[in-house]
Amino acid sequence: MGVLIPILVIGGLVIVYILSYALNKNTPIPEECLEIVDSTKCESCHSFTCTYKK
Amino acid sequence: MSFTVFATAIISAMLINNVILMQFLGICPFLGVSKKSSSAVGMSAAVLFVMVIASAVTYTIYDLVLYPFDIPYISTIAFILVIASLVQFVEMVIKKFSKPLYKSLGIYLPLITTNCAILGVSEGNITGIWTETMPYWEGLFTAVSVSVGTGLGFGLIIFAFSSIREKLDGSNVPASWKGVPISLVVAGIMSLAFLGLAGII
Amino acid sequence: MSKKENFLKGFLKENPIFVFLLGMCPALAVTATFETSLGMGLLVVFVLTGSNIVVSLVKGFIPDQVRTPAYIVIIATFVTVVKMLTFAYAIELYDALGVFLPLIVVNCLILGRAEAFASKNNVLDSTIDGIGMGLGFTFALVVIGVFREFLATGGIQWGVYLPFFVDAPIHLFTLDWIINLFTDGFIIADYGLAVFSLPPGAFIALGIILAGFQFKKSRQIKRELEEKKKLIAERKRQALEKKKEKALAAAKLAKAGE
Repeated sequence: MGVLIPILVIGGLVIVYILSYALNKNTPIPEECLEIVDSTKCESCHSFTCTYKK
Repeated sequence: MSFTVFATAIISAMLINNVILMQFLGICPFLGVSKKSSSAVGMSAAVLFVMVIASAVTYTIYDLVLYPFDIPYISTIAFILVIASLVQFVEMVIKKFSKPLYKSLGIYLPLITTNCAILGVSEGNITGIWTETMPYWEGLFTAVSVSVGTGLGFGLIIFAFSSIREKLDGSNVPASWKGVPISLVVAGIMSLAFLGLAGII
Repeated sequence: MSKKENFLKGFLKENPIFVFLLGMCPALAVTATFETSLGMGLLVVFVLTGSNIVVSLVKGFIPDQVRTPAYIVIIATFVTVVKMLTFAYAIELYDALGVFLPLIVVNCLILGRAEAFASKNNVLDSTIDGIGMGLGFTFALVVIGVFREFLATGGIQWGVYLPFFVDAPIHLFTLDWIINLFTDGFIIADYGLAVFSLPPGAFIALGIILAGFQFKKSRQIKRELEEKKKLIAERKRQALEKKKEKALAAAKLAKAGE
């Protein structure tokens, strides 16, 4: 039983992450902002979760 | 829960233990984004916003879930997942409900998902503030005050540095020092100045 | 790419810190002494190799949409393992690294290798890449650490944070004995540039080292350009000579024809 709790917590958090990721992906960027998004490219940070790179 | 706690936390986190110059958290945006003053302001606003929410949420999770269930060792996994999903969620909400807010700070949100400053502050709150006997609300208040101070300190340095950067671009720097090396030396001199603030409190 | 190249590329050609500027936070924060930098580097080697192996093992099973959280969980698991091991066997190192130990999770190097290399290559190549890149990172940290500790104290210590192989802290290297050949009771640590062990010194030291790298690179580029120019000049000369010869031959032919 003691082993189950951390697994449940991590699993729950992963599900929360996937849900919010999907929600965010499915919400379109407002049209007026598309130009600014291109101009904020960061050069030194190689964060792979950055959604702008792809 | 008093004003003294708030003020002390803000001054010490913003000036004395500055997040960039003294703790070396968030160096990536410091060197990468801070070329234009306008984007520096937007970026630091986004970091402040997410940092406050993230430290409140992670402190709550640690105090009310991880510690009572005797699983504090998964805090790293839990915190990174919480912060990553929090950033996604906040970005979605801002995208949907407020165009001006999205224009000014929402576009920087994806950049800070894995920003070390945010995870660093959350971890620092646990090692520095949290104790077994501290009441939940008091700890939460201190954690939030510290994160506000840290976010302000981040913004202060990023903004100051972007102004210096604009001046640096026009000056005659030796070829081998151009770019990152001279920025690092400038940061070192700024850090030397901030070292002198250590005796304030 | 051969296996040897794959292993060696992390040291100089694709060094994560000096060339790609990845993982700058630990490069500045934990390099106050040689030992902490070595310890951090070895921990990163462990996490990077482990996560590369697991990512390349499970790359076929993970759907593309949940790749990101899966990698985060894998890396964070290894970081938790490392955190517990350090806490158990080297508590001084654990205290010295502080918040930067859990922050290995967000080190751009590990996330980047998982995404760019391990998710596309087989297990063996990913393991070699992980060890090589990790050792390259360690190499960079150790260079900075030695530079800073030597300038700050005039020597290199061993045994304070990594209590292995020795009973009490010893000096691996120090300038004291050279100067003590001429005088008595000299302690070089009193004359060290203490600022290099403080935060400002980190920025300045890394700036100096990176400037050295840029200097070397710019000289190399210059040399290559000069060689190219020489080559072009030589070719031009040859072509001109050929033309002259041709013209001469034509003139001779015309003369003979007359």
